Amino acid sequence: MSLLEVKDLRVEFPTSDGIVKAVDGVSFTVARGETLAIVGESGSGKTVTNLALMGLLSPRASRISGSAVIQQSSGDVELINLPSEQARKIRGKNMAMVFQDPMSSLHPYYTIGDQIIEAHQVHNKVDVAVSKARAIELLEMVGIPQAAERLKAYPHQFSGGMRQRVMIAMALVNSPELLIADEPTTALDVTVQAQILKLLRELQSELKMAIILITHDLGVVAGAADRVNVMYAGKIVESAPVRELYANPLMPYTHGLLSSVPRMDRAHGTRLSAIAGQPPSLIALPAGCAFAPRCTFSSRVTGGSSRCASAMPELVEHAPSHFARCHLEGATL
Amino acid sequence: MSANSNNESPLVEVRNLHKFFPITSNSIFAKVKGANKAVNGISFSIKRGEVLGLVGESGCGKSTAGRTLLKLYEPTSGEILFDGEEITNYSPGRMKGLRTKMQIIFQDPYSSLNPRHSVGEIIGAAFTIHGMDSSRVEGDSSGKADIKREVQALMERVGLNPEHYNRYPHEFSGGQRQRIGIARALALKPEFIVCDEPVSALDVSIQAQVINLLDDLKADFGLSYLFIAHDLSVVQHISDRVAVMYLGKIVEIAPTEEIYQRPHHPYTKALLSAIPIPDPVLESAREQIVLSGDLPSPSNPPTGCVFNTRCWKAQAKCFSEEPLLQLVDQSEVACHFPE
Repeated sequence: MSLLEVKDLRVEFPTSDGIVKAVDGVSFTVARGETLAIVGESGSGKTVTNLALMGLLSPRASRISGSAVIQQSSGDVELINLPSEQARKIRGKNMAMVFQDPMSSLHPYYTIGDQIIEAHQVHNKVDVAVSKARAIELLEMVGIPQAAERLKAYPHQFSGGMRQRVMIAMALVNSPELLIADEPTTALDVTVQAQILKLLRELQSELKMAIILITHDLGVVAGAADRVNVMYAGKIVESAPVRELYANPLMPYTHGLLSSVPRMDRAHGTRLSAIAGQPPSLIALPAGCAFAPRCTFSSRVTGGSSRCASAMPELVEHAPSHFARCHLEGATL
Repeated sequence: MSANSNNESPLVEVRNLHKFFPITSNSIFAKVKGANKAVNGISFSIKRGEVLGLVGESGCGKSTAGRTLLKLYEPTSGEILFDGEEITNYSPGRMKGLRTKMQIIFQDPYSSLNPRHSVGEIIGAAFTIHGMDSSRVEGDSSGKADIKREVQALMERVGLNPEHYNRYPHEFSGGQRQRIGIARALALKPEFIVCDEPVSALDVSIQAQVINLLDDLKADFGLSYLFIAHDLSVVQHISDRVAVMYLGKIVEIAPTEEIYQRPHHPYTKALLSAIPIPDPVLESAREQIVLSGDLPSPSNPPTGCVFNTRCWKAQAKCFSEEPLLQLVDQSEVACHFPE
């Protein structure tokens, strides 16, 4: 069985304008030691999916349904609507998260040592000295020089890349089996991004943990992921092993996304094929495929584009472990 | 076109441009303690109809360079020439006349549009400010109808619905707002536009739409761009030539094809290799140069070559002597030991 199994996860936010369906029936699994990338544009539901798994959405502001089971040595645990007492025992221990913005996710008033030691103390009944030793070990592991002295430093004394290393050290302090990295390099410069991605790769092979990598950057995905889920308007529209997805995208949205990225290895001056239009409002989702209004392939569908507009296609396996949500049913794009 | 312009003479030229921001002590009797050397002696030129890409990491001075060039910041020293005319010491009043020819598109479409002004007012403001609001159409003394028609034509050109003339910025998405910013920059038919990270805040699918639009506008209006970005793949797509900045200096400047295929400066090489290629097969086969460390502080740049703290080829000479731009093949490179 896989480490994490998510089934029909739904997250809705009631607002004064209507109900925002941020995550609309998402199912996937994560195996031990693998990297699953979740790709999508702003508002596609990739971050909310993972905040729901981590139990970080306010129950007063959101409605969450579905199931997400994480495997543990002491038995399986259902994460959705888990009482906060129990959620706290799992969060930071079995699963941990690295956020996008290292500038705002560290507490400015505490030294980084305090913050890492606290994360260790919460889950382990050990002496502070033990936690301190563990903190130093972690800082060394993520490549911070003079780790013992840097424990006394405050977040503002670190650069963006260094802060992200601290965030990673903090997330790994209890050796989680699952690390959720939400756009971990988006706020960083490319040369620093390369450092952090390399670090995550090395740590993963050393610690054998599973990673859910949330990103909008298809270049980062290509270098870091084993499998990819593409999300659009709250749904998974395509899921495949990374090489298969890039070589043979089956869903027109994935195809459009891949061809709209400017690439350095392409000739200079070629025109980008942009996807026309914009993503739909999550309050008033179309009855059929959410991508249909922007899709240029719908005329090729048997039954015509009216079928795309009226009926939501299912996520179907068209090739071994290659799933797509499209009425084209695996036709080559 | 003015008399002194031909295809040979550059439209925009900067020579040894410096922009330092003073660092002051934190008391009410502020004393200048030092300077943030954001732009530390750069020279380049842009021909008519040409796009020069300016790339580098955050803090390298690329945005400051763009803004100083437009005299939105007063240059510390150096020369700025527009259409053969030296504008370095132009007063704000004299600059105002030139603003019709030089414009800017900002990075953040959320903070660069006044939320209390309608789109019509935002784009139309350019006409009012430059006194182009009256006597365009006979019998219309206010010129308002005229501006509206002009603005709606611009909106249509950049792919906005002209009927949204009276809407406010919050009613538009990020990509549409960037189109408003583009329409505003285009309003006075400029010759030169500084595009300061115009697509960085946009999603990939929208980013491609805006890049294509900028490409089309350039061809239609014969525009020249200084295209500032941290994303080298975007720059490669749109630029004729590319300049790479590091810590306030240009370390390499070359035709686009050349710089991407044969980078000569070690920093350019590292920067290019750090960019992930969206292809898992190529990506796994590629050898990456991962630079160690971070950017040094621009208030206290290293002596000698600015890149010497992170360079794997640095030797004694690199710490004592500053390399100047020299021609290697088709590129100008500031390195003692170019690749």
